Amino acid sequence: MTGAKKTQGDKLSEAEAIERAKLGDAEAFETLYNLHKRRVYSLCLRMTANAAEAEDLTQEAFMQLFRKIATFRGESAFSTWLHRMAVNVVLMQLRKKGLALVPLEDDIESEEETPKKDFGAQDLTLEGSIDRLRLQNAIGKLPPGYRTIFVLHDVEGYEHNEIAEMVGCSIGNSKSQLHKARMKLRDLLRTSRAEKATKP
Amino acid sequence: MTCIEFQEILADMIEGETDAEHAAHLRSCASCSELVFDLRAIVSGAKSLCADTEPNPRVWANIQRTLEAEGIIRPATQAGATLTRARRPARLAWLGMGVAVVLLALGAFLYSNHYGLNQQVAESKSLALPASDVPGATADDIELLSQVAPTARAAYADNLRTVNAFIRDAEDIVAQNPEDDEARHFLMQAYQERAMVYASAMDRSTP
Repeated sequence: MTGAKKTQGDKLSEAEAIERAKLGDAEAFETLYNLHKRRVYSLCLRMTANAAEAEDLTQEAFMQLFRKIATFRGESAFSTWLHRMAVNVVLMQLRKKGLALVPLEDDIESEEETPKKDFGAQDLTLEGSIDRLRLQNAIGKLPPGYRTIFVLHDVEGYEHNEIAEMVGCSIGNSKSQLHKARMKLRDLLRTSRAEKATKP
Repeated sequence: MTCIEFQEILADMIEGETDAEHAAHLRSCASCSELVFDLRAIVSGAKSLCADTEPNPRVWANIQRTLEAEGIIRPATQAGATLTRARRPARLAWLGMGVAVVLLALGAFLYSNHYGLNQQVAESKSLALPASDVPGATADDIELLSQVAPTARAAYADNLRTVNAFIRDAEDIVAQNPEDDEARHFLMQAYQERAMVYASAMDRSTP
């Protein structure tokens, strides 16, 4: 611990942890992991909808980060760097599994994946607020392509140009998929609400 | 504006401004109004989703092992692990010794039993011990003890009781400090000791 500045509670700050991790300090790696594990794991879990797979991908994302940490120069925020790495790890995995991240053309829609274009029955309206658990479950039921775009844009806050670059599609395609994903989610949430309402 | 025309611009409208023409349609069409309301609720709900799900502790344990194996971090016995080590519960120190004691006790018992040195003592202690009368024994332990020769039952019951106590302690410590390599090592060792007690007992079980 000699010479290392500590923040309150005897914990390393992120900047200190990065510098010490570059030197191979075990505690620094653990600090960085603890600072970012929830966000990375949540991203992996939302994009895969599978806890075991999300754990493996979290591990892989952090391993990639730690292997490259000596090259981190601080031009971008560390969390942004890590997050992008995690997204790439997940996308790579989805590609390996042969899942189409986005259909080549906007108009390729299977019957199952096409959002219903009915404009809403009164009794199924979402009432403006959606509880997180229901939304989380509905996101997990989205087809992988829709889920990827929706999570990246609406949950993680990436712009369409960034998504297009990461996923390898056009900006228009990203926008189109996002809209379809939202429509599909609405459908799933309304169905879930209807099922809940009919249960005794 | 019809609903079909409105739907064509819907995607761009959800996050953007609503112009006068669209606003007029929304005022006059309950279905489109509900749709926009729902989609905006979804967008807003997605933004409020928290990244609060904690990965299983084994994720870090795996990362740490890999980092060490690849030589990216110094092994846990060096600088970084010092603080963690200092905060470790004191009982971990005797846990390692305790596991060794079980081994020694089991070895001594097997040795003396083999040479018949304390057979009389064992018989006098063990014949009266019902297999189920062992505090903290699991169903497997009871079944095992019921199959062991009565002369050896008390000694095996003692060994199982001791090793089970170590396992419980080691499991507690690992649960509290999942990244503690040494605690995991003791836990694995305790499991192995238990397996050895079982293997030895099975060898000596009554036909």
